[in-house]
Amino acid sequence: MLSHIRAMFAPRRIVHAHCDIPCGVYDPEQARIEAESCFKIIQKYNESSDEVFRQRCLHVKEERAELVKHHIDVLWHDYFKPEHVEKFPDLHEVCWKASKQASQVKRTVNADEAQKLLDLINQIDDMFKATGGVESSRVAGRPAA
Amino acid sequence: MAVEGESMAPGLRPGDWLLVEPLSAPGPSPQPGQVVVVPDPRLRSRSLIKRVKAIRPDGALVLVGDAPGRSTDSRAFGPVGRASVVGVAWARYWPPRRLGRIR
Repeated sequence: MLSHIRAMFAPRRIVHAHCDIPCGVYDPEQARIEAESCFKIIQKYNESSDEVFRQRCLHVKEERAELVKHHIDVLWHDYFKPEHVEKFPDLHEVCWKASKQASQVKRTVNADEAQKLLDLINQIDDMFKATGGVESSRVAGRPAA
Repeated sequence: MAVEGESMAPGLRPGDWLLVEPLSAPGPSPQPGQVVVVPDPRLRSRSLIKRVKAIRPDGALVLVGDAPGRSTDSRAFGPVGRASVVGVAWARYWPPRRLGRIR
C-alpha cells in the first residue's frame, strides 16, 4: 500500500547532478601495488645469484615501474580537479615527484629508492582520501587488506 | 524530478525528489544562487541540475555543481543560454525528513 502511495508521488523525470567520469573509479592502490612489486623485485634481485633470474627481475621491474607512472598520471589528470589543487597546493609537485621517482626505480636496484616511491604514493593517497577517497570507489565485499 | 548523481552534494543527493517550477522562455532570468534544470548541452536528451554561479553580460548562465570536485558543468561545456533553462528547483518533497525549500 505504502509503495503504491510512494509510486503515485514518484517523479517521472530524472535530473542528473552529473559528473562525466564518476569519481568512484579511481584508487591509488593500483599505483601502490605496482610500486610494492618493484620493492619486492629489488629485494629478490639482490638476494639472487642466478643471472637469468636477475635479468628477469630487471625486466619485470621496468614494466611495473612504468605502470606506476601510468596510474599516478591517471589520478593526476583524471581524478584530481582544480578544487583539489586549491586545497593541496603541492599536489602537482607531489605527483611530479612520484612519477620521477618511478623513473628512478627503473634505473636502480636500491630498495631505498622503491621505498621513497611508496612514501610519495602514500602522500598522493592522503590527498585522495581527503578529497573523497575509496568509500565511493571500492565494491562492497572487497576482502580487507 | 528525481536526482541522480553526486555533483550537487551535500544539498541534493541521489534519490531526492524535487519540485521544479517550469520556466517559460520569455520570463525573467534565473538568478545566481538558484538551482536550475537544463538539457545537457552535450547530450540534450539528458537533463542536468546545477546551480547558477554567475550571469554573463550577454545573459548566458554559468552553471557549477555544489560539489565542484565531482561535477561536470560550465567549466567543461561553457555557459548555457537563458532560453534553455527548463525550470528552477525550489523544493524537495522526498525523503520526508529532508522536506523543504531548496536554497
